[in-house]
Amino acid sequence: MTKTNERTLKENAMNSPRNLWKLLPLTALPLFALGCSSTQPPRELIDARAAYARAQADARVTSLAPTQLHVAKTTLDTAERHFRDEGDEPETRDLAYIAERRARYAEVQAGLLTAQRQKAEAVTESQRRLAMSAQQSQSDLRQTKSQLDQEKARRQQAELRAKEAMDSLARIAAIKQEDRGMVITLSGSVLFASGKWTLLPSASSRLEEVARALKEQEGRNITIEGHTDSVGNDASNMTLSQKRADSVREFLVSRGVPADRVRSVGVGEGRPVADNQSTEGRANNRRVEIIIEASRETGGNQPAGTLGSGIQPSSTGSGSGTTTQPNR
Amino acid sequence: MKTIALGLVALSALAAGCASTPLPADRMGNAQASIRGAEVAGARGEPTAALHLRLAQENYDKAIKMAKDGDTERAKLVLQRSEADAELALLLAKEHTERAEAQRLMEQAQGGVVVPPPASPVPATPAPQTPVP
Repeated sequence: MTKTNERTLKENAMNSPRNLWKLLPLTALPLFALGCSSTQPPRELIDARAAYARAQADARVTSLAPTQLHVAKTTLDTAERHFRDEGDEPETRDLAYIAERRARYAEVQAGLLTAQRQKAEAVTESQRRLAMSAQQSQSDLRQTKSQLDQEKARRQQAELRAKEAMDSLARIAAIKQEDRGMVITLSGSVLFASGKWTLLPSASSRLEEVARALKEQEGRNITIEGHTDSVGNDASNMTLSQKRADSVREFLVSRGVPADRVRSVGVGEGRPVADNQSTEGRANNRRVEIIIEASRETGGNQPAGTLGSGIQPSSTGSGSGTTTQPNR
Repeated sequence: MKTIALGLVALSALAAGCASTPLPADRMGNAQASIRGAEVAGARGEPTAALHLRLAQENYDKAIKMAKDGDTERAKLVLQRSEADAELALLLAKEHTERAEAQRLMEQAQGGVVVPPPASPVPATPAPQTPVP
C-alpha cells in the first residue's frame, strides 16, 4: 500500500459515520466556548437586578409596598431562572424587562402612598389651624366686646359728670343753648375792674367752676369772646375785649382746660346784648362769653389734635377788628 | 416511500409555521384596558409616564404582529411587557397628581391659612391729659 492510499483510507475512515465520535472533542470545544459567552446577562436583566436592589434598600418601599416588592422579586427570580436554564434568549429579556418594571412599580407605589399621607396630614394641619384661628377670633370678639362695654360705661360717667358740672355752673352764670353751641355768659364787672383786663381776685372762684365744667366737655372746642359797651372808641374797646378774653383763656388753661381747644376772641362793642344808653344795658354788654361748640362727632370722642385743627371763626365774632389768639 | 414520508413531514411543519394562533382575548383585553387607564389618569401629561405609555402601546402592537406571524408564545411575553409598562405609566401619573396636590395642601396649611394676630385694643376716647388744678 502506497503512502497516498494510506492517507486516503485514513481520511475515509475519519469521514465514515462510525468514526464521527472521534471528532467530538474538536467540535465540543467551540460549543463550550459559545456557552461561556452566553453567561453574560442581558442588559434587561442587569437593569432589573439594579432596580430591585434599589427598591429593596428603600425602607419606604419595604414598609409601604411590600406586596409590590414581592411581585418584583418573584418576576426577577423567574427571569434569573430562565437565564440560568436558557441563557440570553429573547424570553429571558422579556422576563427581565417585566421584572424591572415591577420593581419600579413598587417604588412608585411607595411614593404614591407617601403623597397621600402627606395630603392627609396637610388637611389635618389646615383644620387645626382653622380651629385655632376660630378660637382666636372668638377670644378677640370677647375682648372687643369687653372693651366696648368699658368704653360705654366710661362715656356715660363722663356725660354724667359734665351734666353735673354744668348744673353747678348754672347757679353762678347764665347758660344758654344757641346754634353756635352752649354759651356761658359771665358779667364783666364780676371779672374785671373798669378799663382793666387783669382778673379780680373774686373772679377766681367762678372761673374755677367754669374750668371744672369745661374739662368735662371732652372733645369740644371752646371760644372765649370778650365784649365791651360802647363807651370809648372802637379800637381801644377791641383791644380791651381781646385782652380780657386772653386773660380768661389763660386762667382756664392754667386750670387744666386743654390749650389746643381754647381760643380767645376780642369782639369789642360790636355785638351788644342790651341798650348802651342805659347803665344797666351797658353793664350787660360788658361781658365775657364762653362758647362750648357742639361736638362735630357723634359721641364727641375725636382726638384733640384733629378737633383743634377744625376750629372755625365764630360767626358772631367775625366783625372788623376781631383778632384770634393762636391756640397753641 | 421514504421520500414521500419526508415530504409529508415537511409539509405539515410548513403548515404549522404559517398558521397563526391568536393571543388569548382576555390578555389582550387586560393590556388594552391598562393602556386606556393610563391615558385617562393623565399619563400623557407627565414625561416619564408618557414614555411608558408609548412603550406599552409599541409592545402591544409588536405582540399583535408576533401572534399574527405565528410566534404566539413570545407574543404573550411581549404583551406582558406592554401591561407592565401601562400599569407603571398609570401609577406614575397618579403619583404625580397626588404629589402635586400634597405639595399644594402643605403650602396652604403652612401659609395659606393666616392666623390673625391678637386684636389691638379698641381706640378709646383720649382722657384729658391735664393736671388737676
